[in-house]
Amino acid sequence: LLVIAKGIRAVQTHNHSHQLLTLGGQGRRLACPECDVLLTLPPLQKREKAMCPRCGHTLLRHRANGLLDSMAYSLAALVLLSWSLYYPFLGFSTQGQVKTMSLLEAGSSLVSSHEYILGAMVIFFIIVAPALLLITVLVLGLSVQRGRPSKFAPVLGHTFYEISHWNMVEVFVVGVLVSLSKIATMATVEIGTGFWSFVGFSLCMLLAVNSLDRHELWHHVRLMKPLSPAELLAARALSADEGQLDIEESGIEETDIQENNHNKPDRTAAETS
Amino acid sequence: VNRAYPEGTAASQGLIACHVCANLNSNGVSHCELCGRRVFGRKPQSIQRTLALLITACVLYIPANVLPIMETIQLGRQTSSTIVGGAITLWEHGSYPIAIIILIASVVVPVLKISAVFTLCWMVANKRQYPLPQLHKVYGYAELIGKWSMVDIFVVALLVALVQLGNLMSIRPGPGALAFSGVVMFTMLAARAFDPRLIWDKEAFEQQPLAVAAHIENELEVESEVESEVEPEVEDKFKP
Repeated sequence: LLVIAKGIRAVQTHNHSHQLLTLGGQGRRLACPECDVLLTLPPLQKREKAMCPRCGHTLLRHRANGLLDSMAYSLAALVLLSWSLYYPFLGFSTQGQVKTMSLLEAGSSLVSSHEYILGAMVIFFIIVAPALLLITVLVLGLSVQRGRPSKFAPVLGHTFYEISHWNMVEVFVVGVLVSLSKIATMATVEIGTGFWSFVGFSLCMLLAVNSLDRHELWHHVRLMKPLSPAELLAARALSADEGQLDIEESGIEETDIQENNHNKPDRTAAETS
Repeated sequence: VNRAYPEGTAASQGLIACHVCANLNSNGVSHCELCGRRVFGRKPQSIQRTLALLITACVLYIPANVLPIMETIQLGRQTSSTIVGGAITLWEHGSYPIAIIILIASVVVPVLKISAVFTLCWMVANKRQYPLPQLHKVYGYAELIGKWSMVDIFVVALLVALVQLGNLMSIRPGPGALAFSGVVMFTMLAARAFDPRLIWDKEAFEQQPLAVAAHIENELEVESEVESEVEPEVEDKFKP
């Protein structure tokens, strides 16, 4: 899936919308979310990250292709999650009696022993919250890729922000390991396909969340926001200027440069607005 | 006065940063101009909310440790174990690493987290100065370790689902499990209700804004002067 995503990216290299995709949060003025100090994000090289000089909070990591990577990992994670829901998760046998469980049973067996709230919490933390996170990444990413504003972008962004704290996939993996070694003394335990796909799912989930750049995402939402009448006029003037540019490029070079000098401030102003 | 941050804080410049999309909104805005989420300069009644949630977690911590977290039925004989009891049994059976993991996740982490957030609230509400970077680190760790206490609950959920062989051997959840997951949830909510910017508000930034504002205005004036000087020349060159 990652290969497919990279392929799409290669096709889009010359696309204008793709050039915007690599922008990230660089050069943006923002307040550190943890200590409120005002900063401007510097351009980042590979393996660099921007940290707040006051409190040390990581503001931005270098990501060559954050959103597309994140979408690819999300898709892979969703497929792996559906596998781990479908295939048997763990098997348990002692004295000739065998019991296999699916991932869903981790919550539903709590419900059937009348621990309704606990069962709902477990299912939410390990299945519903991560799945919702991945779906919001995919939907937002697709709308950015198509360059069309999604009506639900703010709502999806808010759900992503709220849910990301309640995603406990990696904690569950540790829980599985602990309980495996707990039962191993009592009986024979079989590890099913569901367990391995869940491990893959948790890895992809981690990568999807880590490669997503919040600033980049919101930068696109800002760009895709429906324009106000004044902004529309400015955009039309900009496109008219660009048209002139294309014609004059075949002409004398000097005028070309002058045009560029005139246009550049206008264009950056329009983009930031 | 701190000279390392010439732009000051968002609050000192009359800006409100959105927590979701990091957009800088002008003061007096109730909802973010970009994403439409409610924005606050600081989370309202942050300390009170945090303390309320923390006290809830403390109250729940008692049944979480006293009541059994799971009940094991083996050959018709029922035994129930609490969190600490389960860890001790594991230790006696010789599986030391798992006993340590359970002890750290279910005893050390919640206690540490509750006391850490209590200390933060107390130090922020107190007028005295404290080393701020260290306080902020405490907050960072408190937020990081919170969800790892859920390991024990997940272990119970898995054992309940897996070990279901009737009277031969079966495991049922105990009432302590719900109380303990309540502790974890409420400590996580408490850490989220706490606004870390309150820590840094104690830094002496009060004298800074005016000076910075004046500084920026001067810069702007200089820039506009430069522009007005340059532009006519360019136009002159164009005219002939």
